[in-house]
Amino acid sequence: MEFLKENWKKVIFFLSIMGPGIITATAGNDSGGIATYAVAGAQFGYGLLWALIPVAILLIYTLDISTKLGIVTRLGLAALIREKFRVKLTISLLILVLIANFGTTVSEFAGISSSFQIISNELNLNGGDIPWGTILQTIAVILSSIIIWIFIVKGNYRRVEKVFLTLIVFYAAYVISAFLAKPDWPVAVKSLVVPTFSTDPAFLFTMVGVIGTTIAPWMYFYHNSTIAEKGISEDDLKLSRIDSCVGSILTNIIVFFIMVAAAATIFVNKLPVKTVEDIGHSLIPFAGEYAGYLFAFGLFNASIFAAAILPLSTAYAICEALGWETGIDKGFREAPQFYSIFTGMIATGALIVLIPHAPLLFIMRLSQVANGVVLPFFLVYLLLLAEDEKLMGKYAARGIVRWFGWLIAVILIGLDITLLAAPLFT
Amino acid sequence: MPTMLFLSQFLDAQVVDSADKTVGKILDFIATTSEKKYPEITAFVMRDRHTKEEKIIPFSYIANLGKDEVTLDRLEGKIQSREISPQDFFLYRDILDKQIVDVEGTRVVRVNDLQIGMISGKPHVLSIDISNRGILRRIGLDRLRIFSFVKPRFIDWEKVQMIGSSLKLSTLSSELVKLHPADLANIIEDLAPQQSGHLIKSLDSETAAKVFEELEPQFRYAIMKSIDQRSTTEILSHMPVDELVDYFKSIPKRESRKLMGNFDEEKKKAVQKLVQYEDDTAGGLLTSEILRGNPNWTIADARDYIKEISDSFRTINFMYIVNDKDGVSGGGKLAGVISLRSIIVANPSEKISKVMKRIKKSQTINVNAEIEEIAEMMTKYNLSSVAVLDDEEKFIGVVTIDDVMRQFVPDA
Repeated sequence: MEFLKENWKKVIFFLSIMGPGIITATAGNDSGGIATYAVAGAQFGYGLLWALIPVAILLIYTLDISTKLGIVTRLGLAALIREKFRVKLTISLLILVLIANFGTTVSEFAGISSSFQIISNELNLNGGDIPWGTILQTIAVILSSIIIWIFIVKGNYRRVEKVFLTLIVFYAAYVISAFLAKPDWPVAVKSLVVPTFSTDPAFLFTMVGVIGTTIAPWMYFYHNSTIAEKGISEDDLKLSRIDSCVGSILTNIIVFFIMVAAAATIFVNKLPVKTVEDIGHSLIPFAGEYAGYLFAFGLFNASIFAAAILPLSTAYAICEALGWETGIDKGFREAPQFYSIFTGMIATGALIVLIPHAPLLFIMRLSQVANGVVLPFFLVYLLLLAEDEKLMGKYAARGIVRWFGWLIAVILIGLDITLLAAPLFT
Repeated sequence: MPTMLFLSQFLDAQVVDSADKTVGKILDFIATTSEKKYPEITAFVMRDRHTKEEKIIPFSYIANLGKDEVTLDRLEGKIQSREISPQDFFLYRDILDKQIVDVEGTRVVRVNDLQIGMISGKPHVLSIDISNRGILRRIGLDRLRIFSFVKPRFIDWEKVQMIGSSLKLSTLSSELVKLHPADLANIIEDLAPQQSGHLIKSLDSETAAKVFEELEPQFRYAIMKSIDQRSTTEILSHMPVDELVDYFKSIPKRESRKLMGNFDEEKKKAVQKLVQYEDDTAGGLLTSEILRGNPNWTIADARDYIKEISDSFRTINFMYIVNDKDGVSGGGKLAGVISLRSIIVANPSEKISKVMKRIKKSQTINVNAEIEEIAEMMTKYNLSSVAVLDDEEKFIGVVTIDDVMRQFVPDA
């Protein structure tokens, strides 16, 4: 009994520390991520599932660095970069981060729109004289942006975190839709542990894509800043590391189910798919209409989640680097720049999606390129900060941990350059 | 208006000798503190063009201080570098881009640039630039017309507090020590743990204890961990028992046991007794450091006693009168209470037991009483404080209205 009580206390305590890691890792499963994973499953079936294990390791390792940095220095990543690498380098990095994050924000609002497109296609809402489906999509985007805005501007950190943690529960939609797709579970599990290779360039590029979408600089800016804002102390370092570890594993479990759902239906039946809408639509004949709706709902949930976090991450990064007030706990008047950046990104992000024939693909491609260009610099900065003994004291990365970090950086930068260069060869 | 000089304009500037030969480039400026209001810039750090070594060159060698080029008054061979003294600090390495405390605004700001000015012909650090104009200047965009609406904002050097590990950086500005402990606590919460540790340590331990009490609970332990144990003990020894109890409840048991070992027996006992009560009961809320008196004293005795021990109390409003064979040392049955006002107004030869107000048992509260009950009693009898009795009806402390308020409005 005493034992139970003691452990129960520990669980409650962990719940109070938990947040930044789980939220960051899961938010990485945004609309762009879901599209990449689902297409990977649709094109190569269970063949790429094994990639999820190295992806999880990458994520655990890099978030762990970020956890330590945030707790030991109680400063956001952008502030740390400013102190070490000074104004010029920081601003060049921030401009790229801004472009990358803005493009990603647009893709999140596009994700909200896509999720309603899946539903309206299924219900044939655009069949009549009035395009109800398109109207529904427009309303969804406008309402979502307004809700996100009010929620962050009026909320405080604790409440925002609670709602984010609740949104994570809805990722279960993918788990259910995977079960509805009746996959070949033994094969799926075997594919997770036994790697398969192919020299097909399309396979390789998709593999690089799956690994590459997992690690985006905005995640680390958000993670670090919220650890600092939450004021987690050195004593809770262990719990906070568990938080990001659990988050990294959880998010890859979700990815597993997304890929399995697509593999069991679209790949098995050799359907041609290009977009998320195709996937949501193609699920229905094989897994039932609920699977399609659940997929759409999951996409909506993930998109709205990331559409709130990306502008926040950007606002944190810019304001910290330039010495402006930051924080969800502050109001518009106390932190005007923070909320202006946040508001600007939400408003223009939603607006661009609403403009008919807006160059969405171009913006998303630009953002991918910007993300690709930022990533190597960002990783190098992150590792240099992590091994800075003056900054990190006894928590500085040393020995194997340090070399593993550089190994990961070399691998990621290699993949990154491959992704950036890919369009030149295809 | 004479053009203003800024640190950022001289970083990376070429250094030429009196024969116009390039000798190196400026990496940093060194300022030296003294009793004066503004620190004088006494030297600069130069990377030698040939040897690539970093040299410290006295500022007095400079014949002409141009923005892109600094001319020395002697030939390259005559340059003698000097050593660093303990009073020196580096403007680029230690101050620029770092956080600094704006004492007047009681907040933490980031240094975008440093303004330099001549005082009786010598360069001094006058103020820090915290504006976006400073950022624009750093990236070379400040001369663009479209940015002319961005105005510089300076904080006078006298109104800033540097924070850092070196001795010089932690010397306290006279303005900082005048701040209210609650303001200091707000500043400390905005700093990184190490920096807040340095700042706390550079305060005198009595002020440090007051600041510590004002900190949000989640920061207390982190800050204590970033300073050495001797300073921790020193600060804790200035804290009243009820605050100590709150602190010990919030930290791991082994830590509190370790710290408790440094206290004298009496304090240890008092703390241990109270640690067992829940936060929202009388036992968790009470203050045990209260002025106690003996019913057999005269008013004059009470006055002498107050004079003698007043140093050990933060505030005194009432004297609690205890029937106890040990006198005033603690425990005992509560007989009554006497206000400071009565002690001043009453006849000095009068016995306390004649002047004091008797306290009925119905106006006291049990140590296990919950906060709602305490609040109800305070409202009912219009009390600003309630006496707390333990299960044996011994008087152990007082819950004040402040303690109750803090429980209801924790974030204020």
